[in-house]
Amino acid sequence: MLEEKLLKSTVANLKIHAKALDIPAGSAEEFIKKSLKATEKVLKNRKVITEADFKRTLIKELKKYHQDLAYTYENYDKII
Amino acid sequence: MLIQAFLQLTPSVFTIFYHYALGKTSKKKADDQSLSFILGVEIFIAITFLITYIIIAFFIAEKDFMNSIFLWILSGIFFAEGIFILCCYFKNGKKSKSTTKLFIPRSIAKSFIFRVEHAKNRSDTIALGFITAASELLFILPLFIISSIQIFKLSRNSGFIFIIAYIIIATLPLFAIRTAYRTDHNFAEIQRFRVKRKLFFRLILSLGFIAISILTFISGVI
Repeated sequence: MLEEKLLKSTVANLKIHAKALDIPAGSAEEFIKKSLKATEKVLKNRKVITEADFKRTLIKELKKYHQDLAYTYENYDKII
Repeated sequence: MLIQAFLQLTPSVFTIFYHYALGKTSKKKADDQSLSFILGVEIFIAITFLITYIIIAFFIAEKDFMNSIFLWILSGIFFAEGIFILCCYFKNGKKSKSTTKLFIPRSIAKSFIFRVEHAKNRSDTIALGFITAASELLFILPLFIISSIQIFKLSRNSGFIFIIAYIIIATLPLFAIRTAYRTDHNFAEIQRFRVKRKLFFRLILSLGFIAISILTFISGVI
């Protein structure tokens, strides 16, 4: 079960990235909701879920909907 | 002065700063804040350059300090920095291949990102620009010293024009990134562009520092 705090902060972060990338708010929310759902499904049976596992799986799911959003989420903390 | 334009810490922080500003505020406000960031960088360059010039001018005029040993030490510093940039400026490794991660400790990089995320008003943004430029002091101070030595030989008007040109050229990459954002390019496109040209930036920087090192050494011999 993913920590609620982690989920909330991830959603907030993704919404900021989506707005910066000029993705319409409605579409962005759809992408994020579907990606998070798919991520939870993939990680459902794991005993231990690290933040890195969660991020990696989420990026993989996001790529199916919006490449730039996935790239930004993956790399925004690797730019410096 | 062109060499300073190729340093990557300030453009990296600026890229993520503008992206975050777009995500949190309107396009117009993000654009205004970006100018504040650039102002912070320019203030740092202006202040540090002027202080360096005053100190160098004092040592040249009063103490007749500009002897070969000083120039050879300066040449050594440039050479060491050139080699350092060639080997270690960007983080090496499989995970860092498609990023522009720099040699700085991860805790400092995270603190920059924290500052970017929490910059609320104009003064925060100017301070962020100032601190980011200050973090590159290790590389830019020798450039200021050698430029000050050259300016000392020029007339007062020419020296003033040189300093203004230096500040503008040093902040050209920030204006280029700002223009890219204003012409509807996004963080992903800009970052992919920078990652693709990582090797070019590294080579230009290291060769530039090594070239300055050789020229400084020769002027010490002469």
